[in-house]
Amino acid sequence: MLCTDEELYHRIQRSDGQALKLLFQKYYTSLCRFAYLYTKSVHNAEEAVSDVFLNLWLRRDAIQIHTSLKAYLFTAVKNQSLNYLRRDSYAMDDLDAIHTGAIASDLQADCLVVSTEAKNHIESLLNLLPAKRQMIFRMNRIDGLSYKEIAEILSISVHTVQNQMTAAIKFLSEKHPRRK
Amino acid sequence: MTDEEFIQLATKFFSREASEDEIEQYHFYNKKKKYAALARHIQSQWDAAVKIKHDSVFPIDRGFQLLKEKIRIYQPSFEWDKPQVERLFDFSSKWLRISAASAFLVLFMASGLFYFWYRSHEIVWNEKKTVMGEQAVVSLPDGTRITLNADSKLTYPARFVGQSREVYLQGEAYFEVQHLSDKPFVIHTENVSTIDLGTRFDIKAYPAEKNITISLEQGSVKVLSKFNSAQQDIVLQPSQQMVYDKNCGKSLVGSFDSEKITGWKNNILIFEDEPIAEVLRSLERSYGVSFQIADTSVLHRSLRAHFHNESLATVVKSLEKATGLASKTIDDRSAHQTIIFFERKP
Repeated sequence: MLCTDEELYHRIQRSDGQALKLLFQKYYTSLCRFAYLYTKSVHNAEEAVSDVFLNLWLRRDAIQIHTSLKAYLFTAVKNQSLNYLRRDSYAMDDLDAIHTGAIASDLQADCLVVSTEAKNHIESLLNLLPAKRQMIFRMNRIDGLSYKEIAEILSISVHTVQNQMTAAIKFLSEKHPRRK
Repeated sequence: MTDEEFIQLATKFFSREASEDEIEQYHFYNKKKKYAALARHIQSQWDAAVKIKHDSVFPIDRGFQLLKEKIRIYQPSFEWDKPQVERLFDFSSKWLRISAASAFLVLFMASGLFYFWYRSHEIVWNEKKTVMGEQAVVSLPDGTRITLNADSKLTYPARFVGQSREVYLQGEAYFEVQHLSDKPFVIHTENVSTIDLGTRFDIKAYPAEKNITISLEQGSVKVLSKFNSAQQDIVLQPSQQMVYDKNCGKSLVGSFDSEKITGWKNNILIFEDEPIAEVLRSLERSYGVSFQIADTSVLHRSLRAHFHNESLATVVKSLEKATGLASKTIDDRSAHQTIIFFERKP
């Protein structure tokens, strides 16, 4: 049983607080993880995401969604996260400068899953990818965004998204334990 | 076609960005021995990249609280589950002040009358809670018997006053309601209320799960969902079950197997092709232990099992057999057991 984002947004525009709650529930974790890659702080990531939903609620009769609600949310969260970064005077405009190792250990420390074969575990493999490539892969595979949506959110070309995805898949398949 | 070119094609195929021609091309090359192995590796890695939730890092309750506080700066009376007032009055603080002042005045004048009225209708609420691994029975003054499953909470009045008998449920319980034609029995769960006139049924409404399930064995019940004007009330007949999706407020009515739904009362647990993640969750509840699995891809496999009043040891052995994993039990200081599943060393 799926409730479409379009339905939810129409209900939000009619001041339905329940619909806002449902939308929030649906995307909160994905958006926080996404924000975290920019803010490197759990607190700021949560602040950025709640700011975006606050704005969505307060300006619900003025905001027009052009592509998809999902793409809008991700783009807005990206922009708000960058605002927090600038506010906290991090000079990080280039994503690839973020040390992926730090992201991996921060998030995995709270992960309930214990990995006994870390080398082949897909999560650890993903964390070895350069930050931008990893983010693009997660946005497509885990958050279900299309190449077009990812390109729009990150302000890059679809061609770049394609190349990054191919490189990620190539890396993962090379690290696959080949069975003879 | 080089390996590189094939990987690019496969990537497009798996991420559903391939054109019709490219899909055909992929299937064509996939048949060839040279690329089939590569395709298999890519597929298995693609499948393995399943969702890994970081809910504990970004707990949603904290998110709700934060957002609500922010909205309340602009709308002091905002609540998640109340229908919102028309925007006309939201942003003008002058309106808020006027309405607040007049409300206060009315309240002040009515408080005297209100006080006496309230005292005569006072209700004392009781609460029965169960922890993991525990079941309990509550007998109400009207003769209704309620069996609570593990990790559940029933809030009920010490005595029933007024036109109806109302209780609040979180978790799961089996109801045997005493028929009273002038006083319907109402069970409130998150988003959904069940009205009943004298029947036997099971309600499963765990906060962490995405569905609320009401299964009717005998009699008839009427189910209302709150704040969903598009949805009509649903009346269930015996052997019918309603599954309500909390994510979008839609429900499905179907049939159910009695033993599978109410078996928990006799510690009979039946799983038919259910994802292991859910099986483990139910078992954690019934036995009061915790499970951990290192390989998350196992969690998505489905399991078929019947446990008739089995000991925990037997259940763990069955799970080992079904998953091909080994297990180890850890007891912590508060006597709580955690069972970890991991791959046997070759």
